[in-house]
Amino acid sequence: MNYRTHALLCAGAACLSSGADEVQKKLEETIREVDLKNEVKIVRTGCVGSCDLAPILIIEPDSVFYQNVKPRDAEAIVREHLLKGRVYEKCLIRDPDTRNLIMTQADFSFFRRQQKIVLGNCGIIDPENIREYIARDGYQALGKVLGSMSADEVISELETSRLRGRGGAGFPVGRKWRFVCNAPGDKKFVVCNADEGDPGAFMDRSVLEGDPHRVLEAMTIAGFAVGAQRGFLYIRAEYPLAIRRVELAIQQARELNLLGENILNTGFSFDLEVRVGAGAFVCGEETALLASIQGQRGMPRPRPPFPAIKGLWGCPTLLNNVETYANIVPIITNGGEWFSKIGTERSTGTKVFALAGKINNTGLVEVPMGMTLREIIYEIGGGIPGGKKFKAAQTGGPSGGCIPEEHLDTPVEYDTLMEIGSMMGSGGLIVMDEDSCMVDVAKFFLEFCVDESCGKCPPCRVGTRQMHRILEKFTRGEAELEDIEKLENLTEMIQKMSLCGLGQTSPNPILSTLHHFREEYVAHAIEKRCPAKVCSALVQYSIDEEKCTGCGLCSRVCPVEAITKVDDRKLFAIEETRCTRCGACLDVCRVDAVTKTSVGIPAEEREEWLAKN
Amino acid sequence: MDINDLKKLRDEAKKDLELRSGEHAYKITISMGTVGIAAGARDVMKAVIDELAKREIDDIPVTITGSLGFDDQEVVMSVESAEGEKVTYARLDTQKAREVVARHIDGGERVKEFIVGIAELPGNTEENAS
Repeated sequence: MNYRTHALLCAGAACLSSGADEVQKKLEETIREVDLKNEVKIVRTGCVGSCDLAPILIIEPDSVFYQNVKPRDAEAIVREHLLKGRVYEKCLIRDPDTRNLIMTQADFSFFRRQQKIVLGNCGIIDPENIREYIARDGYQALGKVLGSMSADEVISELETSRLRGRGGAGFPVGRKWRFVCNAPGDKKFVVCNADEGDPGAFMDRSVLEGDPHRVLEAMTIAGFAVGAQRGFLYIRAEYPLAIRRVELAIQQARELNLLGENILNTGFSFDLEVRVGAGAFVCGEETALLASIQGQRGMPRPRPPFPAIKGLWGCPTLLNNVETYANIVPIITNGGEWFSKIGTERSTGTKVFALAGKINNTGLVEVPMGMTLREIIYEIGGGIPGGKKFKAAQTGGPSGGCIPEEHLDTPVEYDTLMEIGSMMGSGGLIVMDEDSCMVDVAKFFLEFCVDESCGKCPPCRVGTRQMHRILEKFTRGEAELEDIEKLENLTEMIQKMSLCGLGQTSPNPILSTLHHFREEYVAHAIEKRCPAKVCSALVQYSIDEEKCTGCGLCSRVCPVEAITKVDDRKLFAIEETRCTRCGACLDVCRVDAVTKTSVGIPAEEREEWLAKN
Repeated sequence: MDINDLKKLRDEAKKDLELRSGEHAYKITISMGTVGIAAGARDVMKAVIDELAKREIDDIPVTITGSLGFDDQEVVMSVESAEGEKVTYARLDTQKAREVVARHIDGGERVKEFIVGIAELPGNTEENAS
């Protein structure tokens, strides 16, 4: 069948939860009605990346990019665009500066600066159809490896590429493969870490959902290179769609003799299996992950021995992250030399980031290493909404740190991020504006580590909780200056003594905020003031008598009846002892009469205040 | 399946995805405004698609556009080459459209009898280069 148009409907997680299925139903229905079903093919693709614009529909060959498509828009797009060739303007994006309509993906600044290697197929092919992957040269790299390369040549190619592990620590991938290859033993395993746990990170999920065969192909190549016969993909149960698509992909690959016995008649046999994890953060740690695959409780163990020597069931095991594997096929196809020229000297290739937080364009972006944070946040991300001021960018999830404005021009690489007290991590990038309290942010990430600590070693189990307690004292206004020192002592102890990466890196959010935003900690401790007006115990709400019109809206929404009329005038006031600082009155006031302040205790009154408390 | 079969499968599967790759020798655009539809643009398009299929040409996208304003000359169809040359044909019916496919797309020769205009698109070549 020769279709003249392909309607590419994004079926990534964000688009599906914004109603992509209903859009598809309406598309199909209308296409039937106007009798275009022999001309238009609907293709469900993986994540396009601009998740805030979901659901997304791209019409090829015109490459028109429709966003925020509701079922009734789908009907209009069929009747206008597909039938009559008129672009349906209501669902086009508008350039935020010029207000001009943007027709295609290539014209949209969010995509223009990106370089897609890992996400090369995401949003273009149907992940549930192996034919489409093969059409994009899929499994040709595997054919090349099995047909004409030795294990040593494959690993040399990776060494030339200088690819580093995308899971966070940035270990050279070629070296790791070499370790496993050289490790003694007949039985070896290849494992893919798809236990993506950082809050806000979803790049691995998008690769598995949008282009699963790319990972399977890379793992099979890895099996050949290190001499393994079996492999596992450890995917968290929170990603049911990824699990379903990977399982389907494995089945399709087996049917075409791309997995299983005697692959492509070359005599090499390798098979893959999915193992579903229960979503514990600690299972992203390699030894805990391997324990979990073996059916044991997911807890880390001391290293060495490293998994490369003693991994699954005591056998040498190669463990890489999803994004790392997603880079293998392009390296084999185009050569390590080609890859090493992308990015920077010490960090080659590209990195996928999940942009989130206070930023105009959220979603997945893939950029060459070495791009500055400023370019990522302002040129691709479109800057901070509402004209607010940038305060910090958090990278690396709960193991990472906050990067303040003065470092915005730092090129994003493994080593430079470490130098400024953060880390690459898996690629979460959360942008914070002036309304974020850095003590509160540190507390948020630490809370995550407290919850996710597996409890095996006391520095992490007890230490993170103690740090959390101290941070709570800050946010409640009960901390004193010496608490900063206590925190610093604790962080050092926990970093040095914890068993695994979870504990060792858990103090990072505190250390980086203490380093870059120490004055905020001091303000909380000495002045009992929250500069960003976030910590509820340290803020006060008041009503401006000049502005208040006496409408009474605030009084009606106040859940604790703290807002009452002032004597006989038609104005309202907040009774501070009753106020719970929920902020409902501020949200509801139509004349901006409600203000939030954090006055604290001025320096001159401090002596007096100390004597009283 | 062995490595050669895989290559064959790829070449075959590639045809299904040509539409999304953005590089084609020609691109056919048919004016599909109200007047165009009344003059039979839909039948012309079906004929074009059918003729392409008959000749096993599967890398030429057929797309539609709104009215070009030649209301008295419908059905209007343009053939744009990768180099940026755009040849516009007018007053087509299904038979003439099939002839354009046969002679211009398949044969590489312009069908002079039906041409209303030829335009070079210098901007386009630049875009292709970048």
